[in-house]
Amino acid sequence: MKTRLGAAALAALVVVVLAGTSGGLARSTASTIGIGALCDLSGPTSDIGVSYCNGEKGYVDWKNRRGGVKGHKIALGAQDYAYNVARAQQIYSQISGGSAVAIMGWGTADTTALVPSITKDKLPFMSASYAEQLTDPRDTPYNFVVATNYTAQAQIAAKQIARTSPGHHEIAFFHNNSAFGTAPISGLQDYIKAKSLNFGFKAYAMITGSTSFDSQLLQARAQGADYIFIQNVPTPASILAKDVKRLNLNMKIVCLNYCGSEVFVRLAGDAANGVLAVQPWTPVSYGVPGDAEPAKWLKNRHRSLANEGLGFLQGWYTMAVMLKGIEKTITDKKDITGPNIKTSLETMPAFVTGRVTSPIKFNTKSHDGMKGSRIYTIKNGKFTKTTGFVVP
Amino acid sequence: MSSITTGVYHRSYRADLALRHTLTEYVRLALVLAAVVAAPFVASPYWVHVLDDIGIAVIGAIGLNILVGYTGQISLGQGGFLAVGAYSAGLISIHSSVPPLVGIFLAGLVSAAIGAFFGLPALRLKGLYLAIATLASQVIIQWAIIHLSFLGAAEPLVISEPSRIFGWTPSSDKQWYWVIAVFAVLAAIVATNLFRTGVGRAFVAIRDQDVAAEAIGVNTARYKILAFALSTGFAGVAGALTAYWTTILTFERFTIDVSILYLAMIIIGGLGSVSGAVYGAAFIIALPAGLQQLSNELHGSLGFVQANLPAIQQVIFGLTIMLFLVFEPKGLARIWQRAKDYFRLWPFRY
Repeated sequence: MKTRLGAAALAALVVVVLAGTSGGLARSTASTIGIGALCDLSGPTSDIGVSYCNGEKGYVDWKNRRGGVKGHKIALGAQDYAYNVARAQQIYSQISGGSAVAIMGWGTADTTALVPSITKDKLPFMSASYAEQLTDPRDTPYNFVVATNYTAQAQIAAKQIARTSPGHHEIAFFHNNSAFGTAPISGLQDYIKAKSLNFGFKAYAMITGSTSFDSQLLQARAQGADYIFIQNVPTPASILAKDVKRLNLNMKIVCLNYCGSEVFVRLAGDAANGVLAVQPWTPVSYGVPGDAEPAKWLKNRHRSLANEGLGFLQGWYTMAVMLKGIEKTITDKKDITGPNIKTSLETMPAFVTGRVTSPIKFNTKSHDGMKGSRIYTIKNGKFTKTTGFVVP
Repeated sequence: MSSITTGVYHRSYRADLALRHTLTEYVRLALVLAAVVAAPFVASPYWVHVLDDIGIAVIGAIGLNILVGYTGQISLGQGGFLAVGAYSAGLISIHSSVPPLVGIFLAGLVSAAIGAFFGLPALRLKGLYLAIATLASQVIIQWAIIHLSFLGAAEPLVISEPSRIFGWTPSSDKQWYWVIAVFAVLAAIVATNLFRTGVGRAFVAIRDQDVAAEAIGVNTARYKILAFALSTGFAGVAGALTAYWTTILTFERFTIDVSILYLAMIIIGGLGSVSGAVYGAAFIIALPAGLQQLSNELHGSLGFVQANLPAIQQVIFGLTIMLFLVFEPKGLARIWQRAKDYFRLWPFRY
């Protein structure tokens, strides 16, 4: 009897799941605008993916409490894909099967894998991947990259080293073992060649889940590396920084984008001291005007921007840019469709983030939202501005 | 060779060789085929995509079951061979005008050839040692994709030419469903028939006792390599289908996690059973997809569940697999067999 009841309950559950109404999905109606979001809440990049996703949700809530976008409430359907490309594609089919008009993504691999689908379905897509390959509208017409691309960030770091310390340098490029990690490599190598920089270069993959990078660091020592570039998320980056300190290696660390966050500083402790960070987003500790609203929204929920970190601001302002494009579409009295939102994003004035970033501007020839980045030095657990905005 | 239902008599070799013997079996087959045909018309776009994933996983899992379940050789490199098939198909499509069906076949052959090479350690190694040796194939293949420029050097490989199959160009998930379903059914038929031939029986003999198999004249070296080639050939076909379907390839789709997931499919489905591989693939792909859908249904209704959803999903996924292994180590195929027996013998217990 118990078995039959169990089987009946399971069957009922299956029926509910297969034929359900998908309450958590992004659906557009006359008064609401549906936006889908892919988040990494449980995968290898969730150390920063959770706060990024919280930022997206936070901005939508903030906007909806102020009446939404020109009277339209935003229905955000955020789903965890655990940094799994196949899952991202499955969830995309769910989102695109509904009536979402735009999609917020996360990683480079899934953003890249979804390019053919979003191009075919004409859905504007903004993710936390700043891979250069996503910035050219001739190849990826519906992808928009809000921040300085990874390649440009690595080139900015190389330019800064050449400017402040002329002579020969050996760069050990430590990267996440994924498309995100490898994205800037060829662009950086081309830059070194084009600018005739006296740099040696070697790439080292950081295998996900590693608890020590001693073997790669010993190879880097044999290479004669005096600079380590890190293109990775904070947790593995902090392990690497600690290994460098423990092995007493005379190598200066340069963090690119995701590595250069408060989470890295917290996890690396003393090992973060002296690390350079190429960071297009102003660290939270600077308290620029653009931090005020997200900080207030978090405070009302007994949370703080200091704890959420830079990822929250990235998510918040990326969503803000997307909604600004939708707002322009409504203002222009056009239907809220993917192609119209794309046109709005390409033609709207530069989006100002209150000094959280430089102004974000797209056009019909480039979907690269920012061109330059500041460089910071981490001193005693704090980000100290080393340069203003530098372009490659 | 096989056990049959009491009261069913075979009066000819033809009847003896038939895959199905009773009317019930034919009715069941008709129902399954009807479900396969009806699925894309009744399922939502999300579930059609999941079904496509399941179809591809079925091909890969059947291939792995040939090696692990039937021949007794372990492999932790199935994800790598999916990548070989996918990237081979991608390169064939980019650099030639070979039709997709031929491309899929060639990708299977390339994967089989590379699989046979990586199967060479099986001649000297067994068990955990062989597992580690095959793990090397996964790592080497992944390294090659990331570092070799003709494979993209970690840049995505894009198939821009639409896939034309007999003058028809499938583009949506629903259209690809038919292509993938045909290949999945073909894979199941080929594998089922394989174990009714001398080759298949040689595989089983090696699994059961390789020394005895050698003593009765089975060339174990040849058949072990052949099992690796066949298994990785199936994986290559699955990978090639992924390539033509998604039209863009990044190596993250074929990592070690995928290899482990394929092993989980055949263990949960049932080792040494073609239908087990099908059930296992469906279960492993559909469970997280179903949990995701369920979480959408619960959206906003249960605050705690919503706040901890990723963790809860992973716990349920892990727990379900664990419970299956504890209560039915022979997998879903055995559960299905017991269910069939229950109805066949009802109202009697045995």
